Amino acid sequence: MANRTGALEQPAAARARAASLWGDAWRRLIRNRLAVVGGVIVVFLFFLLFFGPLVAPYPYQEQHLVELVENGNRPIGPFQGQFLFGTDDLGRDVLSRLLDGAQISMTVALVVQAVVLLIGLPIGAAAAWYGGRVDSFLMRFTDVMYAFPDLLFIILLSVTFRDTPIGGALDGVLMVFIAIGIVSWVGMARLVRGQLLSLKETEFVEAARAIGVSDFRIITRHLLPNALGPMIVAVTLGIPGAILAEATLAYLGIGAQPPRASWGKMVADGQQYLRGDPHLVIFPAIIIALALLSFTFLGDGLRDALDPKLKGKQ
Amino acid sequence: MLGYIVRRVLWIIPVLFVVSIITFSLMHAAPGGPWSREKQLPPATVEFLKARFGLDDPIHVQYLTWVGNLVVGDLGPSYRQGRDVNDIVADGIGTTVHLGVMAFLLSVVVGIPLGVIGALRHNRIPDYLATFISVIGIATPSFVAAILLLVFFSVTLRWFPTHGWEGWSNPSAMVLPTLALSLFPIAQISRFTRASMLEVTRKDYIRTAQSKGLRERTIVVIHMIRNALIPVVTILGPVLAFLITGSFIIETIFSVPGIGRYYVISIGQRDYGVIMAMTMLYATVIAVLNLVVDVLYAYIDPRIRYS
Repeated sequence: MANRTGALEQPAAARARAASLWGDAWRRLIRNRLAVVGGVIVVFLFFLLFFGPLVAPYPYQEQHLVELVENGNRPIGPFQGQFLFGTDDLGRDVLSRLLDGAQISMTVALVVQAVVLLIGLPIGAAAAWYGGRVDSFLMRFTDVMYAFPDLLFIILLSVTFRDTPIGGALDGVLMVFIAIGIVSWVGMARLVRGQLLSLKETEFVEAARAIGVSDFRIITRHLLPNALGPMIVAVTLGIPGAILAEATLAYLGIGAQPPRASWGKMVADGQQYLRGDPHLVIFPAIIIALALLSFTFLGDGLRDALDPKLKGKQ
Repeated sequence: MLGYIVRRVLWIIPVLFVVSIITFSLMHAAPGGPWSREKQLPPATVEFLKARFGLDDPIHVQYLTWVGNLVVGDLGPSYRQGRDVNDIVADGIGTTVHLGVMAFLLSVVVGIPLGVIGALRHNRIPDYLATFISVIGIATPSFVAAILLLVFFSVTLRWFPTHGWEGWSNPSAMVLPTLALSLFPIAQISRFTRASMLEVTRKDYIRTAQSKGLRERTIVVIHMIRNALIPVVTILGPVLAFLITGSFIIETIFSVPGIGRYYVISIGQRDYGVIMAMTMLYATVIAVLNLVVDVLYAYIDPRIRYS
């Protein structure tokens, strides 16, 4: 009887330790000031993704022509009158447009990482688990993907599919999201593969195999949860790259079509007014910087928190 | 080692082959062609042009023709610029590489010391300064940096020209494009160096060196920096590749006559020859630089052995 109690207690103890593992990570994370600031801004940006249009003072595409003409047909400056961040050369409220841009950038963050996980995770897991041909095919394929100049390949993909239904979806942004995801999944596949390869040799996996647990269940229940930490970090740190890629493409005129207001497009449109009306470039530049930094800080913090061994490593 | 290098070099060929097939298919799958534009050309003219350049052949014939020409070093004509792709590449590649290498040198010369200083003065003012610089680098996309530098230094202060590139005959024109391009890699390299240095600082052999009374200078230079830089080398290849293949925005903003600025234009114009040439060129640069880094890595770190 005593023996049975011991056997029953063990999983409970293991659960408690597992919980405190995440608890420890959480405590380490909130001790990291930069990560907390980054996390707060990230939460705020995601709030804007869902509620941006509700808090926006005006519709992003509305042209306030009367006010524009009263201002001598020049962009209205910030911090005066009814437009907090001023208007652009077409009389559109800059703040409202920034909020619309937040929606685009945050959707990039979500969609791209979803594509990365959807493609990278099963392929990486299959390569690690089955090895052999599957594995070498993946590694050869990643060689090819690495050889492509990323941004140029994204441009090529988005231009190719521009006139298809998928290219027109979401005002032309969806294709850009997918293209960025297609270029970025390779890193995730390699990461998952590396993690699973080392976990595969552990005793608890061997035990699971010995009692006849199915491959799928071992991968989803035993391997992936243990590889979750590095994956969370990779996803978080992949987001600024995706946001930057979208902004760069929008700056080049690829992706979100007018009147949608991608931050990169706002910089491109505003640059000719930079001397007289710097607010048209400065505000989008600041919010791009905020988005890039907050995800980077949060990602750095998560990495240090989830794996103290890796502290400080890139 | 030699066998490893030979195998890696040979491996580049199938990689480039697959890259070329993917690009070729995507490019031809894109709607429109080199002669579709707002004001439509007469159909007969388009038919004539297509026949003239072999664009009415089946796609695989076109591909094989392209490969055949590539093997003898002929990149074909540009349909939109009225000259051969060979000429376009020959005119611009020097400038693009020059800009890329300048930005690379600047990134290394600034980035590594920033990282080293940051780690040696961990959590003190020099560290915060170095971190601040790398934060700016991460937070500023190159197009934003380019615009701000342009307005501040060229338009307002008039220190540097707003556009153009004449190589060493006018060094002041090189300053802003180089600076704008290297901002991000400086941040990347300094962050990486700092992390690597901090890790080395905690190693046992550093404590050993300190306890046997070596001079601080010797410890830092011989024991810390040399070991800390080994992982840094691995990112230098991708950084240089990024600087050479990723300069097209900077080239466009500063009107630098490199090849990068043609790439985006050529995709929009369906200028097939130019798209293929650029992709292959860039893919080759990336593949070769990755190889160089792997070899260099084994060379500076004797623990790594390839077979």
